[in-house]
Amino acid sequence: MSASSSIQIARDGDVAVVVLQGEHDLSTADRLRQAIERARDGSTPVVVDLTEATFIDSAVLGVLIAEHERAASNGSAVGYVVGAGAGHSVHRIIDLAGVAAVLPISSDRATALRAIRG
Amino acid sequence: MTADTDQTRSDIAWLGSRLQHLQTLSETLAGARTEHEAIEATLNPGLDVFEADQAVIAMLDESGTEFRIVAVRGYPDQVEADWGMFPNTDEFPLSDAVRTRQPVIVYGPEELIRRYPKLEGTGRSAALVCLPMGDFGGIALGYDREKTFGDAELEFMTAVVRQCSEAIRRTAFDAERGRRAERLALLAEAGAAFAGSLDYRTTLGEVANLAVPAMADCCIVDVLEPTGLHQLATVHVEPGKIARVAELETSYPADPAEPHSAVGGVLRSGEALLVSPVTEEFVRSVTRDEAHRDAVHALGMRSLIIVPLVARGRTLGAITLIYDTSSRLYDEHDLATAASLADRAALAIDNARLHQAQTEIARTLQHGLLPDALPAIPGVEITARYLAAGEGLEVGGDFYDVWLMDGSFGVAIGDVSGKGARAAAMTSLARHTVRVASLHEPTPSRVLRVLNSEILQHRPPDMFCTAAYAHAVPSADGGIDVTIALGGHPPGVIVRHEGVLEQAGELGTLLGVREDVTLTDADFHLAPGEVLVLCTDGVIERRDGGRMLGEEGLAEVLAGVGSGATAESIAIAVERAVMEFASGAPEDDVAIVVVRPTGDAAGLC
Repeated sequence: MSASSSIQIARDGDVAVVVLQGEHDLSTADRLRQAIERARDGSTPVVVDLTEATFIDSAVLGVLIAEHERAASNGSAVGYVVGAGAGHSVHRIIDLAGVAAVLPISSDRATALRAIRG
Repeated sequence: MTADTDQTRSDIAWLGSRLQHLQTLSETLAGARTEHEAIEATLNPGLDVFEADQAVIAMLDESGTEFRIVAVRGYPDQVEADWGMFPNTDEFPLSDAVRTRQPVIVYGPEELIRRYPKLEGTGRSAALVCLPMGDFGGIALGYDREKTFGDAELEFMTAVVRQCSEAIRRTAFDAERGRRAERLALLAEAGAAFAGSLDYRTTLGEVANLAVPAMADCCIVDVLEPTGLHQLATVHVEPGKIARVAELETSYPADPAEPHSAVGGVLRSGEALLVSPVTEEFVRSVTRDEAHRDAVHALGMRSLIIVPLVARGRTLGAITLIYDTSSRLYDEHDLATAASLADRAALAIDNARLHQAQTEIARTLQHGLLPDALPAIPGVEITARYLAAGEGLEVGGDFYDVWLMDGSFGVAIGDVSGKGARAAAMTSLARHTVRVASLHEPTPSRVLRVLNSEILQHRPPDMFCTAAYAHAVPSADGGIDVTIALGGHPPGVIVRHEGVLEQAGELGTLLGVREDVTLTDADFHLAPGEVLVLCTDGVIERRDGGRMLGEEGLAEVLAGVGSGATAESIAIAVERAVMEFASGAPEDDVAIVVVRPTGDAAGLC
């Protein structure tokens, strides 16, 4: 159970931005999956910003990986942002799991938006 | 003194006494806590106020078709027996008064029979006044002497009766409210009791215990089992009656196929049954012979509810609720409560059965994920701990393994994302792949690479795995030389002497997502007494509100264990730190493996 968490969908031009705040774990993983799917709405490029997340667990990583693959398989795009401001444990789990090698992770939103727009 | 003055004095005395009676009536009515008390109050001080010789109070039943006499004063017992119930028509003075909402006044038996021929042979009062009590009943007052009723007198009587009916209505409302609260409390209690019981026989015992006496004098629970219908619980307010109920059941068992079985009928139709009051006709329809009928009569059943136990469309049995010793009768509200109770019980039974099946599956699956016992390795202590998340019902994705190879041994620990049977299958695959690959691959990074390819081939799209694999070779000093690779897994912790900690392994990519992964072999030596601790993320991600145990918390525990601590005591210390960090079971599975060369033996070579 997360103490406090939120998932919001914003818009930056042609890109949907999913913003995570607070703690995200197994209990919110499904909500995150649905939010990303909703933001994608078929083929809209999606940037998921975890900079304001204070905690994520392996279930959340699982969603990030699965959504990246889903995007790749249907020709849409997804990018991730983990800014310097993200919680220590967020940076740490990304380091420990070595997901930087697997997922397109940028250190700020502008870079992620540039990357996703090609 | 003139006659007039006498009359006035007598009037004043009469008025005084009437006021006194009225005051007593008001006080008694105000103090009435039950409907019965309010009715009694209406009759006792009421008779004095009205100066009547006889009185009858009758209430309309819920269907509105019949009146039931609830109280009688001044008439022989026979009247109550003869007139227990009478129809709501204008053929009777009392029902006539209630129907018209007007007082009905009858002077003498002749007029009575002329106006109400059905009362032939019953009239004896010199005067009879019937007054409506709200819309739910009425009072009949009989007078032995000639009496006339002026408008003022009637108005007075109507006002007093209104006061009485308000009191009766209030107490009835209070009683209904009390019963509603009782029903709600019962259901709440049932919810709690059922939630805690995973054995369905226990659950059914709870049903019967909860129902008696709160909503039944007798509760019988029948359950369909592969061998037939079984009476699993019988509870009666009078323990002495349980044997008689059981005896009846033995002689005339409830049978889904028996047309004269009330429970059988409910099981066949799946429909609840409310019989209130129990009639001779009903008893005849559910008994199989004279003896059966006599036995049922002897129990004195007055009101009955039978509700089926249905879960997921399957009828599991039935609950029978009976009022026999008390005077209460069931109504639609009781039926709804009973149905709700049955639904909860059925769900609990279903859950209990499901739980039984699930526990077995979980046990079998978990069995495949974790080794039965760790191999004994001379000169090396190895301890593992596994804590299942939550209820331990769903099979977790954590695994560990320790196995001997030619002159060396392997230690693996890992975590497959997700839970349930799918994750369990992948976990089993991961564990056995590492073991098999370790036999022919030269380095731990190569072993994990094989695991990566294997998962990529078999996994569903949202599943991945983290793993650490260490290969250990005993060294001449009684310690071990270790090579470790990490695939997305938290590094191990080396506990040197004096509590100095080091990281074991270089961070690598998680497995099962990409073909190209970065996996690095890292070498280190453990001298005798030094320790390698490997665990899954459930340890460091243990949270309590906004706090997290973290690698720092784990480090603190390990730095504090002291030199000479055995592998066992270190594993326990870590386990305890996880358990005590927050209340409740961990949110994620936790696996811990501790390796500690002791230097006590020559090793494996």
